[in-house]
Amino acid sequence: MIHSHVLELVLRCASRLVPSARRTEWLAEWESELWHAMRSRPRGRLETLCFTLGAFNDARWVWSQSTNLSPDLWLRSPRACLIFLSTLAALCVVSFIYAGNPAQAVPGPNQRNGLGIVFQIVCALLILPAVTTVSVGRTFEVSQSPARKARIRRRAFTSVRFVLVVVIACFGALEFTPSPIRPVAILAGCVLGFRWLLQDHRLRCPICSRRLIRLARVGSASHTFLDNYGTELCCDKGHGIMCQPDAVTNYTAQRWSDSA
Amino acid sequence: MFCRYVEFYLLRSRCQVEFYIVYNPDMPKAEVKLTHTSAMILQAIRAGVVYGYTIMDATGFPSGTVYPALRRMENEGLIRSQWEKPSATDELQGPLRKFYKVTAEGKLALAASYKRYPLLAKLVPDTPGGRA
Repeated sequence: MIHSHVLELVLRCASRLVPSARRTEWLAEWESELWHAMRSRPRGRLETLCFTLGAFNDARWVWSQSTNLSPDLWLRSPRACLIFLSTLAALCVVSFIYAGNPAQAVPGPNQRNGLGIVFQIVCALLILPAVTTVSVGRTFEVSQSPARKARIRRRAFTSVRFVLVVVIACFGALEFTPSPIRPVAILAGCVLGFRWLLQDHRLRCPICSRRLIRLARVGSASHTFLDNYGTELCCDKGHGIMCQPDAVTNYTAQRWSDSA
Repeated sequence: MFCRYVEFYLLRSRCQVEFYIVYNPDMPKAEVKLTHTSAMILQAIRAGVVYGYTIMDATGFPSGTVYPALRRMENEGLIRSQWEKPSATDELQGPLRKFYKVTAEGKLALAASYKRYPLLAKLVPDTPGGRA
């Protein structure tokens, strides 16, 4: 026999999954429904328990709707981005050293291989303008230039990510692709990695290097002629708003408006 | 053919050309495709079964299916929820309950569902007297 207090306790446990802003109303709805369920089936204790356990499914659904589980979360803050890339790079290196072919386990001091990889990286940098805009975006007017410390931090962040992208692309290609296509795989990995790096760099706050959040789309190509249209993004720390045009012209460019 | 009129503005000052296309408000909205479960729940609400627990009874679905489906449909604007108003007989009737109503958009979606699921109306027949 299940006491009604136990059922209420089950509901309260389930309600912990619901965001606090919606919890009171959610609990009130379930408690009233439980009251009516118990009244309509006074002897169907098991049925009432099954009814109450369904609250977990409902609470989980409400939780999933209110939680942002997008992959963007892994890359939003500079720290999270570095941890993610470092983990990926470490996995590629460890996998290459320990799980690869024992005959090729640790790359020896083969100068030709090293030069070949450097050549692929240089080729990737040369190909890069063909696959994306190389500009890192005009983020500041000269008078608004951020503090030296912020500038150095931003450059250091980008440099470390560049190295990590190279490590991931090279070791990933060496480990996970067959030897005849390794040079092409390294080249393709570097091009894709550098392309992502540039695009990601343009979408980060110039002050705190956090990834900007998409705020609104302004205008559309089919409704606008010779006017700026694109996307407005904002820093979730409130540093400012970035206007990123869809079509870059000599009079519309990515620009940053500082909130200060 | 639903286009009532097209206005064309030339805003010389901004060198901007804008088209304003105004559609007939009576134009049918895009049909929302419902799953069989959602369609049955929607049909139950339209038939007058308006509380979560009674919808479970009418459709035979468990609570873990009905309540998330209700929230999803409410998010999509197919139904709207409302709390009962307190009355003098509250103590006899128990705590106030949330009930659901089908919106105009929900009715359109349900009408489209009848074509996909012809037996829908027979599975959950109308309840005489409105709220169950």
